Amino acid sequence: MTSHSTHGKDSIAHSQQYANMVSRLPITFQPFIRQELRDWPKLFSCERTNVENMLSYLNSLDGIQFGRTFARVRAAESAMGVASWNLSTDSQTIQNTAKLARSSHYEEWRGAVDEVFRTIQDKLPVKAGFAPAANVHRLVLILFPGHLPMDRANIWKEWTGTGREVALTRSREESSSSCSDVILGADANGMLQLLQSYAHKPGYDTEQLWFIDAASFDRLLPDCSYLSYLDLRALREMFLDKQNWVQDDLNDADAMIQSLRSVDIESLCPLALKGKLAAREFVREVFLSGNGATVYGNSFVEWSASEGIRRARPDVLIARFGLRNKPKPLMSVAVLENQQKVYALPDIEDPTGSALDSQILANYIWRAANRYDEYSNALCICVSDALSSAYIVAPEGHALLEEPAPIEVLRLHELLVDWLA
Amino acid sequence: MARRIGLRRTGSHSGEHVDTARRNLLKAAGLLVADLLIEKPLRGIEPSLAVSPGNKVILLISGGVRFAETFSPEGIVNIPNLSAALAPKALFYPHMRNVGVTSHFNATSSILTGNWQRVDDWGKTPAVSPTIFELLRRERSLSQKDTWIISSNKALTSNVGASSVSGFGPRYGANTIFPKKLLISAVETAILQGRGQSLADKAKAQAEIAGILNGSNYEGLGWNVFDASTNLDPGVRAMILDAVAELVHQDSPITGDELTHLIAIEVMRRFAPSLLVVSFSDVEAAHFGAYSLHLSGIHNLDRLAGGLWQEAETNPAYRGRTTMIIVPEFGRDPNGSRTNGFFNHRSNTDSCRDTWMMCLGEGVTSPRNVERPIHHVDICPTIAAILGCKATDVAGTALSELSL
Repeated sequence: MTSHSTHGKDSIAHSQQYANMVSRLPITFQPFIRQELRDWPKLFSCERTNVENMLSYLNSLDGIQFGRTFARVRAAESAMGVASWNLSTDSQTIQNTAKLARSSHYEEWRGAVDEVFRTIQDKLPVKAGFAPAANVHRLVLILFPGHLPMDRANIWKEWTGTGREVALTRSREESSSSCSDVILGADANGMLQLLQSYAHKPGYDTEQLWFIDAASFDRLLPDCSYLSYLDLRALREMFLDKQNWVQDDLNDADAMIQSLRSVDIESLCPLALKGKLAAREFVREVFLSGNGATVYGNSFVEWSASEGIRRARPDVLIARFGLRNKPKPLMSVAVLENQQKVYALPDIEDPTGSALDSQILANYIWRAANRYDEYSNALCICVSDALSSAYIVAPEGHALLEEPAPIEVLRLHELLVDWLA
Repeated sequence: MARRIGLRRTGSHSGEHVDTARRNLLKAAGLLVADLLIEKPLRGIEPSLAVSPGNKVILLISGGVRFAETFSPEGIVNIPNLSAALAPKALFYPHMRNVGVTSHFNATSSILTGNWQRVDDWGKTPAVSPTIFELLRRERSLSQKDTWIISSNKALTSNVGASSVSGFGPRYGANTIFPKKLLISAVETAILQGRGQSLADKAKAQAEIAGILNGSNYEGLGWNVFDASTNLDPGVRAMILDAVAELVHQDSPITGDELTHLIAIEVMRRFAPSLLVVSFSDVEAAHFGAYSLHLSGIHNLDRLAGGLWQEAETNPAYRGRTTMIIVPEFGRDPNGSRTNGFFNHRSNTDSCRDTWMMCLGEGVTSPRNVERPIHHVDICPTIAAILGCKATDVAGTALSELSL
């Protein structure tokens, strides 16, 4: 199990130790750092560790080293004429981003920024607070429920060459349940039991165990970061309502974002998020950053999972896709609107479209995990109930790569227990 | 490096060469006649008499589509019309590069001006070099009815029709119509006024849309037609209403691109402009992560592009004198990118910057694939050459493979 950093959650936000150093940063770096410091209590442990390590390293540099580290960024800023832009140095805004992206020196600047982060990463000691990536067994479990009619010929197309496809079987007693029901089952053999014991390990934090769901889970879950598209309906509708009426104007969009960042959302959040500030704020950012998260359940699942992996690096992430409705005639032009709320025509589900969406989005989740060292030793299992088929990506030598097919679901569960034990 | 293209070119084109040679001769003759004609003012004359002689160009600009979902061997299943029906007649460039800003307004403005534009992404400010509309209208003394841009794209404004350059500007600009904004405005108004439920009824939906169009402030839609300050030209209004009626009663899904297509066809029939720019954006459903709806947008692009070309081949004002150019603004980000793959179009990758272009009609003497990379800014000088005007001070170069 990961041992997350336990340093004081609020300490850095109230500390002035980095204030001078931040003001010496290139102007395009300042909004990012200031926002991270301001939002300190809302960050996940992993993010706080990364930011603190970075700031600590930069603070340790002498003037010459500091100047050398940012020389290329400053040169790019100078070529762009950033000084005359009236850029916000306090927080990241759409206007800031748009101005940077329009510059003919944008790629030069991006390259310089990437180089700075690479340099810092290389110079940092082994990430404090984390066990080496190779020692942590992580799991990414992706589920396509039975109502998604996956296309047998293409379902694993995006995964080709990364692992193995296997057929799944169930015992006679389990034959009336879907594969994912058996895997997630609450009995002694089910994943829920496994996760309950996982959640009782010393030092456990809910940031380590995520379940992101297009639907709503009807069984008792262990204390974890559970994000359900359906359960978040009240919050989503509030965001949709505000986002729908924003004008096509960057000022207006920034004002809308500022307004939605400051509104109290606790009363609109489901019980699963009560008392979980970082997870609640995570949902706010997911809804604000677009990518369809307020509109389609499957987009919410993919974007939340990808962002969750980027920001919190959970040990276990379960992502379950689901159905979306067909866009209603005419309403599709205003896709952000809440179609169920304002339109009399009955909802019509789009299983084929939902299956196709899920097929590519599931692979995006695994690709997101692949960007980070922490997942170099992760096991990824993607299960289709409709096809009783799974795709397995496992570290070299893992038993699941050698297990004769078809694999019985109970056997799959046994191997998962071994993996996470 | 040569790209894997899903196109198959079969058979000899020798007959085509004879045919195009004859067409070129006729075209040259047509240009001579065109030079002798004096254009009549638009208003007060029958639309059928308002046809400009000479070459015509239809430029169809699509929102972001990746090569992978279109002309790759795996992608052509999404574009049967473009890949099978039109490609054998086309000059096809598999490497059309956008090396500018990959936002909608800047990409479209770069195509239309021949210079990479870096202005406000939401079209609050116009391009800083003249558009092809201005070049054409000023040099050839064409009226405003001769240049139109009809676009589904929400990110465009009437600023796309003219630049801020001294000596050019809106008085030489194009008519600009944004049909999707009309639909959105109708939906939003109905919802705000508690009539959202009425949109389920075709007749009521039609009335909602007509209500917006008949309001005195149609400029709120961001349109600019015949320099009207408050009221839409009655002929244009009738044309739009006809297109709306057809839209709501047809069997095809009601999308922004469907209405844009119907209005474009109406504009061709009633005004026969020399330069018609149509821009589709159903593919931008990708921003919401619905890959299947993005593919539906590609299917719409494929079908509606075929519809526009069919109109160009059957409409007497266009038949035998039209070059049609089909080009995406950009691709989309690659799978696995930090920018969330097909959702967006902001990565500095080939998947986002390297698309394709298809040319059909009179400008095409020899259908073939041209592997050399070309750029969006080459389109403006190419259109200028086809339509007989000069495009100076542009970053791009007219495409020599086309008959100019």
